Amino acid sequence: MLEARLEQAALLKKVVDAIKDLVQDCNFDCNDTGIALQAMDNSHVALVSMMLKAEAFSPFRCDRNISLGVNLTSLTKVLRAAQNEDILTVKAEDGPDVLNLVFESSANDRISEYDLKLMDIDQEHLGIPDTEYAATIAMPSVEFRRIVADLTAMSESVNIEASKDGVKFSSNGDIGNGSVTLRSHTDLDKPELNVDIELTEPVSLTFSLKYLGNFCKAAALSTQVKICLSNEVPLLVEYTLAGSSYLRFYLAPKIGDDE
Amino acid sequence: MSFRITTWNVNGIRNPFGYQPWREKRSFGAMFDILEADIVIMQETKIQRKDLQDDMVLVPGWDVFFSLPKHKKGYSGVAIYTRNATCTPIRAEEGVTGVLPSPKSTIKFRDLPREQQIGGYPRPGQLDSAVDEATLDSEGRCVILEFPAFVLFGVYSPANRDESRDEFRLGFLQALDVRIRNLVAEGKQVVLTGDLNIIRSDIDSTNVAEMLQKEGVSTADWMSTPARRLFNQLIFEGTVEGSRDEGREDPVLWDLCRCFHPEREGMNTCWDTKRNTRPANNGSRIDYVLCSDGIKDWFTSANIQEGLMGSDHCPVFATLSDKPMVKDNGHALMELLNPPGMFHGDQRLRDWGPKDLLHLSARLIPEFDRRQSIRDMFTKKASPSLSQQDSTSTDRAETPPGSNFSTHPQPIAKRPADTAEQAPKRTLKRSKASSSSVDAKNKVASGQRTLQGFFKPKASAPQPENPYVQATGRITPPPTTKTSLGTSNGLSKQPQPLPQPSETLSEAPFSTQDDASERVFDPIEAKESWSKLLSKRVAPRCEHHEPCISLTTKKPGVNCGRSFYICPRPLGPSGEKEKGSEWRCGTFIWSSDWNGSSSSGMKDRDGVTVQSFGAVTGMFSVVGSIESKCQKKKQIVISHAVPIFSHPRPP
Repeated sequence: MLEARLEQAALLKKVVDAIKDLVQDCNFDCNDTGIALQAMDNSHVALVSMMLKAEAFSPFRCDRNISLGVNLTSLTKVLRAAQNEDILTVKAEDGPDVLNLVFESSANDRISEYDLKLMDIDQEHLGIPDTEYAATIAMPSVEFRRIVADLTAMSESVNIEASKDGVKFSSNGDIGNGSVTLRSHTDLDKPELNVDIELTEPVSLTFSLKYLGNFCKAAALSTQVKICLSNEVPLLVEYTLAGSSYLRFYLAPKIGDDE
Repeated sequence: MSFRITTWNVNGIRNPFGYQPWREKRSFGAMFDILEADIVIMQETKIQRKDLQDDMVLVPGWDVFFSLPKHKKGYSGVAIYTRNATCTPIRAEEGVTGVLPSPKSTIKFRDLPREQQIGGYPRPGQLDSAVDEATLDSEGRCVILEFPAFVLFGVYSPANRDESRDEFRLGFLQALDVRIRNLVAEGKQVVLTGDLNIIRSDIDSTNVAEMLQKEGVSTADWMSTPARRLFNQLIFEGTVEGSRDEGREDPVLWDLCRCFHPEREGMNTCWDTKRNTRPANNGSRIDYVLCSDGIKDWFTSANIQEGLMGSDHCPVFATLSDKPMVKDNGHALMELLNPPGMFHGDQRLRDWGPKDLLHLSARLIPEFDRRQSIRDMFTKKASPSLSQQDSTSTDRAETPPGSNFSTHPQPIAKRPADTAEQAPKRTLKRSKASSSSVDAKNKVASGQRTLQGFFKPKASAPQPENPYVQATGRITPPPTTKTSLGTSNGLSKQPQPLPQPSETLSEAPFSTQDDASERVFDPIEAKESWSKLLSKRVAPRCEHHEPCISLTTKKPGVNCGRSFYICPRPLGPSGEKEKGSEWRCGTFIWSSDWNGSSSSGMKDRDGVTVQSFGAVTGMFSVVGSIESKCQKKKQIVISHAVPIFSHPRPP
């Protein structure tokens, strides 16, 4: 039996919005620590990893481990019926056929209830090793989104180069080339505008902008985004949610042109 | 094992997947294996570059070259797939004229350094078309691959649709003709494949003679239509009326299917889907595999595959011998179809590698290029560096190491490869889809009440004890009731207005409201009338005694928009309706002339001629006007009209 109550439906709405273009069907794995999701996109280039800790809900109850196979397009349709401020409760039996969602609006005593049919999804789980990254960049999520959008106009891919001078995003395309460089920056009044670069060694990697653009849909979830890079390791783009919940995206770099 | 070249106008690159046997696996690799082909040329891919998917570009073991339209979207388009295990092109070009820029540069193919050119580009003065070269090559109609042995053209020639396109069509064909002749003159061998949209001669289409007779065109004139004349001058043994054109003195290509089947009639490759002419094989041969004279003897067979469904065309193929003769010496075909150094005789010296990819290969489109699998990165990374947290997916399921993804309800089966993963996922999806569609149907059936339901008798109607005639004799409804009936706005409330008057009139103290209302209307009869009115119209039977199909006139004119009934069978080989055969018969009935089943039964049962008909016609005309608005949904016909509320005549 799973029963989890979210004070604001907005959180789940935004999370699903951020990943639905990357993944069509996926399992929500529920246990007493919270609700987790891990899924690769069809072409196995990107991976989404979400963790909503039990603390994010009040109350949270999950007696047994359950896996909820959900079609995200369908879930989006149901969540569209919820207002951002609604109280959202998700419920499921053990060995469930449906996921029950209840939206309560405290303002006008409106209660809506939906059952979403579940699917059996045979999904591959990857063990994601803890990694010491060569470069970790924290920046405003809106800034990252802007850089990705601007460079998408130039090319299909972006080179991210982190060095002691800062981090440089550069694209080389048919119509020309462009780059954006960020340096560490601390804003005492508005810490959400900080740019923080931690570097153990310089790295330079190339990524598909299409995928980064997909990741940036999560900008609504968090004011800051953390980007972690190392050679020979997928890029990590992390949005921290309330508590220690998170939404992480991993992206395989493009193979270098050295051949 | 012979080497096979297959050309197929697929009419939408995913279109075949809707048909057997392709729908089983729904993958291009599986399709090519069933075709047993080594080179597959597809026409009418009807896809935009942005819609190219992994499964059509990254086909394991295959390389692919696209030519897609520059402006018109979801139209035309040619693709050539090559099996890496058996052949590797050494040059690739898009377009017939060489005027398009080569990939990732602004240099035209024809301006590339000589060693990178395929050659044979039209020289100034060779093309006299009003359509310029860039336009000719802008519609995604030609991919050219060069192998050491020959130059392969994959072409989708413009169709002969209307006069506005004639100039483009002839311009394109002329450019193709010139290019091929130039290449042959340079000493290269050529294979031309594709949907050329030209019927070679009267044996290559059904009922040419009748058609010409009907239109009053002589065979000679038909053979001399510009495209057909050009084509017949290009091929050996072509029929050319009068003297040959300048520059086209010699034929250069062999029509391979015709070479192997010189007398065969009905070797059609394309049929009219709308008229469903494929069952009777009433079609045309417009898809070809042609080759130049020097390599004609290399081919061991050529044929059409009319039994393979999936498009309005069928695949056409030719096979090459393993040991073709080149200048009286037997050579291994593999040597001739791969870059020098890859094969020696039949022995492979080195494997196909990414550096054998040509610039035009779709695998090098940025979106697909230099791609790495994240799964490989994680699994590769995991084993050497972090041994205590060994994280292959099978291990994870059994030993939760306390990370966030640690607990899974059931062990997750590790699957070996992408292909294996696709299959079960799809079956799940399908089962889900089918169940939901069933649900949807049920919902409609159960949730949506039908109008008929309102007229169902509440209890079993006491029909025998309370005969209708008797009831009519007893009660005379007051005029107020009549008016309420006559106006059509109270349809669904029918039973209500009547009880009150009947109650007042009824002498029997025990007669309930229900009873009384039934005396006035027979609910079963009303229901029958309604169902007759609302149910699907019974189609007339054709000469084969099969229910006709209903079609609507599309031809502009007085009858445009009128629907009619014809025989449901496909047209016979004559292309015309036939009398007394198994094919479509001559049955033709205008929908408006068809009365459906007659309503005589009703009258007989009542034993009363229908008087109230006139009173109700007002209502019918309303129904009629609604009907005319939603014609297609339901065929409600006024001529069915039987009295719905056959309330009694005053005695």
